Amino acid sequence: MNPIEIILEHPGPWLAWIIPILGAIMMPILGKINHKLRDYGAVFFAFLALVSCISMIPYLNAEHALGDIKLITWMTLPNGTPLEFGVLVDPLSILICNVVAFISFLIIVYSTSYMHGDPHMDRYWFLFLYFIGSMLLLVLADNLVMTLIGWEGVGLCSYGLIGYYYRDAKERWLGGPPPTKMYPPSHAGMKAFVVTGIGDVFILASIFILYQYAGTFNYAELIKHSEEWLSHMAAVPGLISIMAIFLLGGPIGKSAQFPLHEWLPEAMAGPTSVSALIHAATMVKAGVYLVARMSPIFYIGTWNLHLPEAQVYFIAIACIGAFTAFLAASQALVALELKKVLAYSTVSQIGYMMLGLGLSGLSEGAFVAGLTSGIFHLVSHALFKAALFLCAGSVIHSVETIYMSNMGGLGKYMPITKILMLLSTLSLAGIPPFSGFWSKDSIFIAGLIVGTPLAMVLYLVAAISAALTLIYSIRYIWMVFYGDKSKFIKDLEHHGHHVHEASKTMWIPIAILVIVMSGVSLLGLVGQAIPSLNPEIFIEHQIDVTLENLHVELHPTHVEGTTKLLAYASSATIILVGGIIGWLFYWTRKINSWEFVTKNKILKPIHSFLWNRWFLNDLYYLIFVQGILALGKVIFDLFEVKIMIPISDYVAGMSQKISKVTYSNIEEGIIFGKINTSFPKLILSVYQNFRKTQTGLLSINIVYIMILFAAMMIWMIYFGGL
Amino acid sequence: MYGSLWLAVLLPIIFIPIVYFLGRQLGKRVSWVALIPLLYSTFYLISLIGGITNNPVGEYFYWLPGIRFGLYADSLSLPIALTVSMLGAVIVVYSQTYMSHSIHEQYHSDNNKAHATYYALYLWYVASMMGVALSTNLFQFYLFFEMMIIPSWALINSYGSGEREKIALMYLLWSIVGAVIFVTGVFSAYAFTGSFEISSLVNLIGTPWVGFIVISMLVGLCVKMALFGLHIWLPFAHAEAPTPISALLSPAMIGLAAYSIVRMLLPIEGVLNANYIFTLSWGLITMLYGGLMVLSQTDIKRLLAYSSMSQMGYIFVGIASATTLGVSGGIMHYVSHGLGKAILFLSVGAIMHQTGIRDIRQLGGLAAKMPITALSFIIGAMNISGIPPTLGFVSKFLIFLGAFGPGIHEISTEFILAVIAILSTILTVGYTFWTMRRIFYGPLPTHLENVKEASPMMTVPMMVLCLFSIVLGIYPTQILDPLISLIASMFG
Repeated sequence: MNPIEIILEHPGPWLAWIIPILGAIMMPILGKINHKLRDYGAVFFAFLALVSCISMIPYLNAEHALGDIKLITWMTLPNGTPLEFGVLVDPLSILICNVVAFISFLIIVYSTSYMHGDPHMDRYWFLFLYFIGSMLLLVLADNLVMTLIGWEGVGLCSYGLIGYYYRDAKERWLGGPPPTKMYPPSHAGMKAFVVTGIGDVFILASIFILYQYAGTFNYAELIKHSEEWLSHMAAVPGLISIMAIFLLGGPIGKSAQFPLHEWLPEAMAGPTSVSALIHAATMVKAGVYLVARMSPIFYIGTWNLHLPEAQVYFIAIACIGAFTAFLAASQALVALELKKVLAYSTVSQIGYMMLGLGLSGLSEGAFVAGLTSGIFHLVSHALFKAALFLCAGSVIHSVETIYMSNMGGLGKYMPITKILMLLSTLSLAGIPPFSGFWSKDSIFIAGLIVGTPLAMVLYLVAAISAALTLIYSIRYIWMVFYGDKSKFIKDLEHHGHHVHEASKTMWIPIAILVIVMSGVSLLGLVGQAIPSLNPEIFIEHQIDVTLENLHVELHPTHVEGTTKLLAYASSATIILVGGIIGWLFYWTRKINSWEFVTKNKILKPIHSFLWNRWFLNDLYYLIFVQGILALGKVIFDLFEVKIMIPISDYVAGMSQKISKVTYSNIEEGIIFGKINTSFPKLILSVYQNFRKTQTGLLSINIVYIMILFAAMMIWMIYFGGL
Repeated sequence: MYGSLWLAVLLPIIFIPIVYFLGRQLGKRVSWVALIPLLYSTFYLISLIGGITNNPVGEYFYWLPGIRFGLYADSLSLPIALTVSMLGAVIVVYSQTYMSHSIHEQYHSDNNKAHATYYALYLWYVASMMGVALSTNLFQFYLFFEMMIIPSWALINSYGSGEREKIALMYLLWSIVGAVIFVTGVFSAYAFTGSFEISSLVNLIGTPWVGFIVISMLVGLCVKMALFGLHIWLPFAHAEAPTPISALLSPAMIGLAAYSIVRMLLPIEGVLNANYIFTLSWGLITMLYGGLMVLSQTDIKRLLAYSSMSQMGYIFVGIASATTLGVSGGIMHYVSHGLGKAILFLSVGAIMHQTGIRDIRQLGGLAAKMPITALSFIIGAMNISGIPPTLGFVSKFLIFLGAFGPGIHEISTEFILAVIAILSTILTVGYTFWTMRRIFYGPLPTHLENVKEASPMMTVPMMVLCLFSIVLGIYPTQILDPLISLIASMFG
């Protein structure tokens, strides 16, 4: 069949990403014709992508399952296997791509109003649609190479959109307030690109190692033959661990996990709609998706082949996830910029997802439960965090400041935004019966199913972080919507600027998100009585089907009722502890948190430690920016300029001199008739100059090269076995 | 398409006098005349792509009794020759506006003779590069190689900037010394095989001097490739050459040495693969050293020149791996770096042309004023950092996939070197995007407020190259599959 026929047979999985990419290319052209047309066009293309994704939902049914469809051969690898361009349509990818397309569509509607009047909308829409296309390609791709293409594509769009305000006008800077360092948007974009790029080179290294043994990049084939190639790989001690850790590098970078998490807070320099879509709901989840996609391989390695090294994958990601959840939540406690609080919160919540996925491999029976918890949390977080960011965007749009300390008392002016943000925050904080509660709970349950000492430690860390989440949630809600108006707002009103509610095109998309989120919450509650409606059980079923299609052998354990009760009890404790602290400090304001902290000798350094982001950001800049720049400079100044260039310079200078001397002697000598009078002299001068040529031109150059030449010979004779 | 390889190489040479004499009348417009033979070569070579797997094209004649010269296009040499002729055709259009400006600056008048000489030398240069890529005979290769050095020397010498005469001489010296070392190897090989045919170099296997011959040819070529230790001429020559020539020198010419290593030395089994650690380390050091040097440059052309050095390290790593994938990746990287670096040089040329500034510290915020140049620059940057959908992704992917081939069966030195190599590619991403930021983003300095976008004569060639790199990046199959199968057959 030719490619067109393949696409026409099942258009959904192809058009889902082809349409947005074509739409992206159309944007600058449409922009030339008419601005309205272009804006509606963007919404339309995103809508078509959503329709294509929805059209895939029937394939969830096992009878119509599609699996791996291959389109064209992209290149033929030397072992004869073709590297084919194809899509893998299984419940996991269908689920994620529907979430992505749905949220993208809503945010693109929101953007039409939020970005209204921006003079560079061609670029904005191009990057936005290209992002949607790349993200869906990433999710739907059937092999690692195509996933990487989408992966780099979303990174590129993220770079372009973070640095969207590339002129770095002062009001777009992020960070501060002074004396804390501030960063311009173009710096933030570059930082995001390079830091995630570090993750990308690790994942490339891992794929290269993997390919040498597996001989394929295709997910289904990798998993199908994993017993075979993993046991070959196990013959080299340490190789599976290296491969696993490198593989995690990519997701760690993309999903902003420790130690590559420092780019996400700065990524908030972009327009808020971008932060909502790329840096909260979708792109940062790409890492979670990839970890889930690859986990069957390591599960088989750990539990079917009993290779302890394969478990490194799960242990590492679980530890990193739990630690990141705590690290970021602690920073969110002290941050002053509204979007940055949400960014830290995103990092922290992704930590939970990673923890869930990591737990899946820590015991034989926890695989489905762990994967389910990670993916469930991904879906519910995508909904409430997108809504939170969009609300934050409305607030910032209205009050024109990024600092929460400059807000306060906005609830009166923006009642709709306040309610929407409050509902989403309840979900974030994990208050029952909101979706965040159910998904976080499923991670706790996965931890309890595993039950090993390591899992219990991680469980504890996650629980503490959950309490911190509640505390910072109370803090920011109060600082934005309650309390007294800040001096900044009063000044603003004094100048005739009135704080206003967001426009309809802005709050309706948020309301839809919140309604869907509430729907999931409600189903979670009803689902306790009627399991067929439970979203968690739905996702669990999808994961089951996915793994079944990939022929992964499972050994599920039954979840005891007591396990669930234990998880609920710990959630209740968390809410109680976090709630009381938050209530005292940030709601009733009985205790002035600022005075309390600054007067306390222990808390003050902790505050400064958290405010400076555990000093990690500074440390990274010191080593990887100043350090490498200094290294380059030192080598350039001391080696290149002092040693390499003088050698060559001397040679060139000498030969130039020779040519000049020769010219003045021979040319002028001949032309001006000195031949007769000074023939002997000429001979002498030619001889002398020729001698100079010998020392200058040939010897230095050749000696220099000959030394290298000789060194190579010696090397090859001694080590190369010639 | 009717034609032959000889015509593809000879037509530009035939046009040299025509261009020169017409140029004295027409001035800068003669670049359109110079475009004709280059377009012919490009289209003829493109027409060969389809059938190249099964029918490589070879054309031969006897130069002296016993010495057979020939041109041979197979799936290895075709991408190289095509890159050269295509860059040549695109850049000759770009040259028109750029060179008329710089000739005007140099002579304070529209010096038609200078235009005529420039385009004549240009054709000579491009034709010899194609000749180098297509040669079947070592002696013929050497002739074309020298023929390529002379016009490039003359172009730097007469049209360059800065201390151009001194730098041109230095460039000439290094090139000739490299060529002399190379030719030592060629004559020694002749002593053993009794033939100058490239294909007969295989017969050297087992002879006692094979190590010496391979090393002298390798070192000779590596001078041209500017590997670490032999690189000093490169930043000078590439920075001070006229920008259109830098765009040919930098990616196309120095990469020819890499191609020659694959063509000549790789089939001599056992020499390169036995010294994998040495060659790979050399490539790796070149990558890292070039990358680090980029970071401390302030002149935008020198910066790109050091980046070329670093990219040659990439190619050398691929070749050194002596695996099918690595070598194919190296050759593909010739193409992708050719496109990418040419785009970068042309956009930097456009900036210099529009602003007259080449110090990066005085630039900034130009994306607002020169959006097309900014777009091309970023596509060029993506190309050399290996970001899809550009061809750079494919080539970088293959190079390092190949580099992991040897030594994977234990945690060996080879393995660790390969890991370091792939990790150090982040340096390229860092410096390209940092450069992007320093030139194009941030607030616009007051002295750049009146800058305008370059004329279409400059931006269209850049966009053409960008388009090529993206189309090939999405669908490299037509070039890549034949290449991989040919290289695979070389390794048996």
